Amino acid sequence: MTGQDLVVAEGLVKRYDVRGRGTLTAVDGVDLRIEKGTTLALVGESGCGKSTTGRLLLALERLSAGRVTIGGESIHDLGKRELRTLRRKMQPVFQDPYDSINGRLTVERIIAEPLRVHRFDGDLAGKVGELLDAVNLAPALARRFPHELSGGQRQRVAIARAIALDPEFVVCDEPVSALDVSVQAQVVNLLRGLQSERGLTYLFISHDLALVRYLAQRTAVMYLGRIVEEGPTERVFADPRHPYTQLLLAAAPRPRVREHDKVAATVRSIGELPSPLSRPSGCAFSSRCPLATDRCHEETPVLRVLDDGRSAACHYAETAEVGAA
Amino acid sequence: MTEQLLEARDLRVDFGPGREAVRGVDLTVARGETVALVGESGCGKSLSALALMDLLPPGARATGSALLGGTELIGRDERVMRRVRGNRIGMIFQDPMSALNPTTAVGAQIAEVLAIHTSMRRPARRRRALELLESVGIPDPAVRAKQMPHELSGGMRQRVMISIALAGEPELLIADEPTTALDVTVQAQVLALLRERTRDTALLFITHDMGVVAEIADRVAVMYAGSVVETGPVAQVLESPRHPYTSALLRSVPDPDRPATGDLPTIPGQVPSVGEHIEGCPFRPRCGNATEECLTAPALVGEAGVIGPSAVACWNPRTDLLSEAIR
Repeated sequence: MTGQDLVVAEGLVKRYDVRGRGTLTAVDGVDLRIEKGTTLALVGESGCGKSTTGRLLLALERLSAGRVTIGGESIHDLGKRELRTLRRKMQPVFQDPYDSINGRLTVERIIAEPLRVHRFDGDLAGKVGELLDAVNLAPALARRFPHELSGGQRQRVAIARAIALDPEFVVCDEPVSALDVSVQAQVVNLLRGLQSERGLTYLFISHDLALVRYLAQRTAVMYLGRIVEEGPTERVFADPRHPYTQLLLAAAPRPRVREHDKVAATVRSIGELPSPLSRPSGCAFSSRCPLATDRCHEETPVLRVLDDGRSAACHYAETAEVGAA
Repeated sequence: MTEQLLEARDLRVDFGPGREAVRGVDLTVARGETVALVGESGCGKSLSALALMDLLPPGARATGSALLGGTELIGRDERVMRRVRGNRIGMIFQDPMSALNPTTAVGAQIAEVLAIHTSMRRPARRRRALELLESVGIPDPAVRAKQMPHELSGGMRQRVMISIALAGEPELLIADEPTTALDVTVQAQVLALLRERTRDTALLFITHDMGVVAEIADRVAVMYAGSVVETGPVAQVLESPRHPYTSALLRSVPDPDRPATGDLPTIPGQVPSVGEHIEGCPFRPRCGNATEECLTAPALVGEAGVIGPSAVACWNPRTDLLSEAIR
């Protein structure tokens, strides 16, 4: 890796006790590194643990095991006050800004809130104006309430608030999923612009693979709490090595009429994600994988580095082709 | 020419004087055909569908005409419409939890629909409910039939909804964003199921997603600001869109097969809001090719000046291929 890693996660585990039904392991030994100023995309089906991973990277939830360092600081070992100071450097942007912004405050106060909390002592109104400008919102919107804004404008407000304290690391959890495509494109372009202007580092959590290709230098694919493939985005998209990645890519709708190919036909036969409470033995994907062998049902594959700098957790990563099954 | 099952002419929905949300929709669906009604939020696509079923929210009023096999659907009383819904029109919504009864097992809910729409007796209804569950790809139908909606996954719940919507063997199925809340793998499965189960049933599929359109539709109608701006066979609309809005919308869709180069194309400006006065073409303020002519509203017309299989509401329609426009 050329640059410096801002975010390093090692062996992240998050378990929840589910009353009467045992323990649910939402995140099960995840390692991630994000180089400063770049974007790592985390993709997978709902329930795969990608959002929980994002929350662990921001210390919004306690770890069951593992370690997260941001700029060298082990954030889960910090005291309350130290963590609060560090929170300036790491911010979330969620799918629905309604969940994260107070609907009874004006846009101006929403954006100024983190500045007030962290005792900003400069020109508050001027700073808010700058932030509105940075996210391409008209100054006149400052006195409006969230319900008077469009979905795209609300997400811009949430982004303005997230960057108010000049963070280094932003976790974007499905930030554009609720927006119309034309608005989605505007917000994606905004996130890219802010990254290059401010050197931001992003974890971009998404179920939309097409968007990921626009935004992320590296992509990690998650399945039932574990990373099953990770690598440079272009490699992962051009030549996915894990059967799950191959099927996810085939399932993504394209805005053009396609020949109904074999891989797409396979997608229609793989059923749904098993409950994380009853994780299949061996490879977790073996219960849905069209290529699974006896070995896959018994032996859990480890995430291993392939020769092009990419990693995949499949016994047959070098040769796996779902389309040939 | 195939027989049109549904024929909507100048369909309008308003929320009071001057608050028009659907501003004159012309739409046809032939027997056995799947038509995708596509557009961004607020374009009036869902309201148009709700108007057809007489399920508009309080305060909304539909005018114009919509004929289903010769029966007028607009302005009819509830007694008539109750017979139409379920019997002649089946419905599937984005969130099956809003349509399913949370306290009744799913098998009993299907049997209940059969009791209303058929003359089957109880044991026959129970058997038929299991058959229907099986026909929508639900494994262990006998076990699943006894489960409550919340015990099923989102994909399974949507399958149950499809089985209920098809239980009355309707002539037309209206599906409003039925796969929007599902993961892509499950979405692909539900779309395949819908394709297979509606081979002989007309399907009006409402969506915002051009990728889903490509997967399901025979024909597409693109809506903007309350009216249909373009309609045509799916491949034609997706490959060589003639309306500048269709073209711009398609270009802003990221493509997983194309490496990212630079920013995503966007559409400048904003959609006009409900009730906003529109002079001439509704897309004119955002259109790069607007001319003097566009101050007069263009009609939705096809090649020979009539609405044929394809039509566009534009004075200066595009003639290029989208793939060339992108390059």
